[in-house]
Amino acid sequence: MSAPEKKSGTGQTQPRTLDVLTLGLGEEIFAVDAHRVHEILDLAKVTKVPGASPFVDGLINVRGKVTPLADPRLKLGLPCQPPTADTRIIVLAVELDGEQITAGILADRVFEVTELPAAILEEAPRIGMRWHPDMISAVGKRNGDFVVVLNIDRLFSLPQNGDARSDDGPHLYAIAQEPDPNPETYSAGSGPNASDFIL
Amino acid sequence: MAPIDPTTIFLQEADDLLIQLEAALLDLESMPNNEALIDQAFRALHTIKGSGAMFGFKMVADFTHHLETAFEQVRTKKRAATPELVSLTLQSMDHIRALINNPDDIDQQHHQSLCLSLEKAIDAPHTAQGSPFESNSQSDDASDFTAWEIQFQPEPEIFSYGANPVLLLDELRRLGPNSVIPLTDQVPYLEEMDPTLSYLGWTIILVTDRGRAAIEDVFIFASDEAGIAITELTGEEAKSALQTHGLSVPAFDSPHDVEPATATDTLASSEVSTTEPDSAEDNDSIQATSDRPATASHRAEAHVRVPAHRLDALMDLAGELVIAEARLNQLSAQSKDMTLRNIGEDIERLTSDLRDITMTMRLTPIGTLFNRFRRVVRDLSKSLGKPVSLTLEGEETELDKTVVEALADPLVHLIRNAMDHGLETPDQRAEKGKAKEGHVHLSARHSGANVLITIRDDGRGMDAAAIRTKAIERGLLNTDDTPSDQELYAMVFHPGFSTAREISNVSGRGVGLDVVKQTVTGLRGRIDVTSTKDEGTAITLRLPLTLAIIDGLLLKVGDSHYVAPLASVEEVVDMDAQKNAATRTRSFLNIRDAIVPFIRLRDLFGTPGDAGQFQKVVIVSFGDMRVGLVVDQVIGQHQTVIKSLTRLHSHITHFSGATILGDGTVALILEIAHLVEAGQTLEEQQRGAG
Repeated sequence: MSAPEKKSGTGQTQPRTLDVLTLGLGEEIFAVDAHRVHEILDLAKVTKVPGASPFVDGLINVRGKVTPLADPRLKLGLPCQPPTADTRIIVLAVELDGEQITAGILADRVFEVTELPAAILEEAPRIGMRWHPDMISAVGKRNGDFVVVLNIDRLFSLPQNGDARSDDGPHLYAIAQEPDPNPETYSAGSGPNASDFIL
Repeated sequence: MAPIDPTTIFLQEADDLLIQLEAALLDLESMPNNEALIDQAFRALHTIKGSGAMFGFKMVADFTHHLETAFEQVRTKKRAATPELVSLTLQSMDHIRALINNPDDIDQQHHQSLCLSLEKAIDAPHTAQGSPFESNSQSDDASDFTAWEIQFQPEPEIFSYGANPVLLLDELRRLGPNSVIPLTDQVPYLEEMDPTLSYLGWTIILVTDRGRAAIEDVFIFASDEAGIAITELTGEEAKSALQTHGLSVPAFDSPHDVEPATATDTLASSEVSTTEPDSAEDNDSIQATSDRPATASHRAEAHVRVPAHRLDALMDLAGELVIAEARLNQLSAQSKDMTLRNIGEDIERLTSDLRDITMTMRLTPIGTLFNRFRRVVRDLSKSLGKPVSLTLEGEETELDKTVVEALADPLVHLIRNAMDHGLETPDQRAEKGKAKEGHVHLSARHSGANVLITIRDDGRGMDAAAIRTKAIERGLLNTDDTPSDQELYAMVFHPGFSTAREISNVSGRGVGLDVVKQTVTGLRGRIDVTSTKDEGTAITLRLPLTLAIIDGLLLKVGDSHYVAPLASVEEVVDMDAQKNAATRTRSFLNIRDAIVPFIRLRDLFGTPGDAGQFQKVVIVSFGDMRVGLVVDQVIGQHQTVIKSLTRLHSHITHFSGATILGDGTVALILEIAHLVEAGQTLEEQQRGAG
């Protein structure tokens, strides 16, 4: 089974079309594997978990199950705008260190479930991307727009970029905006996020 | 429903039986004449043998047979349950377990030597006294011997049930002198023969003193798959039958009681071989024998086996119900409709009962675990040459099944450690003026929301100086560090630490104690060590009850709700506004002349906003330590269904889980042990700062 390994980099190895759910984060259009998605919920009351990484510092009640809620914008370095009437929670399956968990991700908008033909899926370029290539499983085009298919497992497991917690200003992937992104700088900016409270 | 694999059932059953057997054997050591125990051991062996044969565990059945024979002799008072026999049986029992669990990985040499010792044990008295028949014939109870005619006609499909009629015949043969005549009249021509079917029947003439029950026992597992007719032969019939079959039994030289009723039913020996097994008489007897399983079933205890996952599912449902009930309650409490309110109260009561019962179903008394240790102590005491008495206390203390299971290995390790390192040799003990026999005490008790399990020995105690030296040697400690004795004792749980100067095969490999610590920490428990030189060591495991539903106290800090386990809450006091300002820098409260450190949850959780005027301090305790938690508001009691946090949050030590409130929002459950520890650290820091 070498497929999962390759999948993180190449969409071309996938023989058939990919069913995806497209969603909007900020101005960008992303997609997640539709087979992973359990349900889409309206924004409900989120319980903050003190001491958790800002990326996944919330808990929600999904039909009786306590489910962690993540904000992918923080990992992708996108601006965090307050929720609107369009904000949704996508509940999906995430594999974390070999363990299946159910988690929610926040989306500024949810569009549709659609098929992306394998032919138009391309491997995420290692250079010139705004996002860490490991978080992207493929890039495709839809209605003339780029659609970035997120690698959900990597999104949850990769360390968060820098201090994305400050409340104002865009959290852009600073390194990636430069013409010559250096992957090492990326990991240097991250690091364990467990904030220890000093008593 | 998925079909149930009978082998799995056998494995489960055998496991239970072996546990029963072990308990009976260990008790037999101290009460060798207790008939109930002997019977229990015998029944366990008999069932293991019987179902082992039925499910194709031939080696198990054959091996167990030896043991069964030995215990049959004990049961019939032909042999005493000597310590040697019990020891041998215990060893054999371990072997049976191995045969069942790893049939492909058996030490043949060990197997052979056990078989030999068993045969020796069984035969020994016989060769001394002659055969039981001879010895009995000299006594007056020769009339106990009865001749029996047994018609055994297995169903053609008997092989498909996994039964082997030859084994049954072998077993019958062991009951006494006999003659077996095969009934071949149903065997078809070769070309018509189906090799998977059994066409044979047998007539057996048997002389035994065991009575009908012993014969029926042989067929106990085959009675459904075979026609079995057992007839007592009396008087002349018996005599002639025996003569025809060349059986000579002294008992029958003297006249025997004649029972006319059975005598008429009895068939002469010459007819035996030609008798059609499916005669009317036969059918009656089948009915008689088919009662057997019914009488056997009283052996099974009134327990129902339920797969653990169904219990878990039930627990989940009960949890959901509690949450739904909380919502209903919230609604009905606001309603003016008295009927609705009454229903709400009824549902509340029922839910709480259901919750309690569901939870108790998952609880197992820790005694099931403690009993295993009797064996460990017994064996170890022999191999170490240290006489040790083990006392148990609080066996009835109940813990969640998963916790009990997880504790098995750590406790074995701690007991081994106590016996190997803690207890002195008998000579050393004598020098110190102690009783030669060492003592290990194992106790369990509830303490608030925790269960305390203590292993106490009366040995030499831990040598703090030696631990210190060793810790420095191992680089765990700097030469200028001055840890307290308590801290030094705790170091033995550090990976790679072992104080035993000589490494024994029992303990002292330096792995294990750290595994103990890992397991206990994994269960969110703590280990406390107290030790006094020459008086002994006590190691206490402090474990949370880890029940799925707890009574909690609902608190509010900022916009968020939190739950503190009610069992940890000692009291709630007002936070005096003035004192609040004054204690901004020093976080202590004076609770009835005791200094209690407190933690502002607002600060700890980084909650924004203003706390308001009416802050409360919830005093919680863990063990002997207390700490105050400053909250904005205390809302009240709340039945809390504990949901564990996922991997994404499990590293956050402030919380032990989360729960869902009546309004559907999520509240975090405070991890009291951690908060209390944090409070104590705070106290020390502030004391240090003056």
